[in-house]
Amino acid sequence: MEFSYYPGCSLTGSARELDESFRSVCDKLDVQLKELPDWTCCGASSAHLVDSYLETALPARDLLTAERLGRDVVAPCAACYVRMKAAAKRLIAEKEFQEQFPFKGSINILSGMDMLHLDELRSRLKERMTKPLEGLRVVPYYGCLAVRPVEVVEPADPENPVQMDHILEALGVEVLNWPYKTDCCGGSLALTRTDLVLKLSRKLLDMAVYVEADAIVTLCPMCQANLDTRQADISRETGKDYSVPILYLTELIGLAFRDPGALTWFDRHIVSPANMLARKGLT
Amino acid sequence: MMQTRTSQFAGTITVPAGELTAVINQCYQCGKCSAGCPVASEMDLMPHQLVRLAVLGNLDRIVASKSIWLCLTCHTCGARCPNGVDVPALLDPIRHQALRAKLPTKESQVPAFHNAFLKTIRTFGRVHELFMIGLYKMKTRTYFKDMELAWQMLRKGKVHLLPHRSSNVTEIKELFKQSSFK
Repeated sequence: MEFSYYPGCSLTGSARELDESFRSVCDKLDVQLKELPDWTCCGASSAHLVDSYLETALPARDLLTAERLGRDVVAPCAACYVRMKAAAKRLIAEKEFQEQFPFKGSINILSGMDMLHLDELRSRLKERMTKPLEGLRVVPYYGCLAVRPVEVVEPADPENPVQMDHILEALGVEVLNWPYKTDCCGGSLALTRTDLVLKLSRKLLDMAVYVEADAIVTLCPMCQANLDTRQADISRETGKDYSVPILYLTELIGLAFRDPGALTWFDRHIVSPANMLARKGLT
Repeated sequence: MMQTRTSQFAGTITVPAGELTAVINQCYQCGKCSAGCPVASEMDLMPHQLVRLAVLGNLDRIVASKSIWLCLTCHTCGARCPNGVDVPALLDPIRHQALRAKLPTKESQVPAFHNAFLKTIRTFGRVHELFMIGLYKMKTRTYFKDMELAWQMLRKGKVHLLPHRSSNVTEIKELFKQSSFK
């Protein structure tokens, strides 16, 4: 199996451990990732708010490169995935773009979750896993961009996605039921209205604690960053101690493979999962 | 095309023609969008009110609201609306026009952030967090906010001191020239 790989800006910086664990997991599953040559930013959560042309033009040049190479693209970052998919739809629907960006739509765009959920990869995962993560209880947090906008993502069920649940179950993890699978963490207001992000993130953390989850598992770099980096602020505001590890799905897959890289990934977290994992006998 | 009616920016801000107008005209004010909106409690106009104002052509109030910049574009409203109205899809073209016309905004730190974000892409082809945050802080004079977090991120190897400059940055600059972003 071979894909073009679009890491996106977050995965080169604040979400480095997602990039590292994603590549490592793909290697173990015999998935060849070919990084898109000299990719540029998709415009993320800013371009579509500011300018209708840039919103599509920024992802368009990477889509053209991908189509020329002829492989389906996988974009682990939820924002990159949605921006690329929205641009691909618009390039085909609106003829005025075709002259500048002759994208034909001959390739598919997959999120990290789409790729990991492929039947073939899930069965490889079950076969090759060396240590099932038994005893670990988590809540799956999909966030907005794994299911919305619905006309872009076209999810089977926008209120109750299950792909990540399936993958976690394959790892032997206990997936807890909770009501906030797709509730927003505050996303793009992280730096501008931090007070709102604290409020929304706190709601998610409180529920995770209430259902006695050991960790929140996500694949979205914005969700991970908001939830991981703001717990100290929330603790300061509330006088309650918040320390819920926020893990990437691929980090847990790596752990089930006993990947030695896992320690480096976990070390990059602000809320360290080390104690929790040691208590569970998983390190 | 639906024009703003008693508008102080007469003719400046318009709801785009065609499909979007047809869709928002279906709104029967059930309020489901506002019920599910994660920031409705912070808004001065709730999502269903924004839609109603757009139907009535009173876009000045939308432009002058806090809500237009507090909308997280989480699209929860759009996923749940029985009539297919997606509030961010309605707001995007209004935001574009308000920025292009340089109209005064509430919550002005939000457009300042997006401006810094896009300038960073224009400069490097990719986002360089330190450069982007630097631009944003200069614009909003919030120099000391989140310094402790920035230090932690740097120590964890999550922030690069030096940017990666795409070799296609001239191509990106060209795309920006064709846009309305200045």
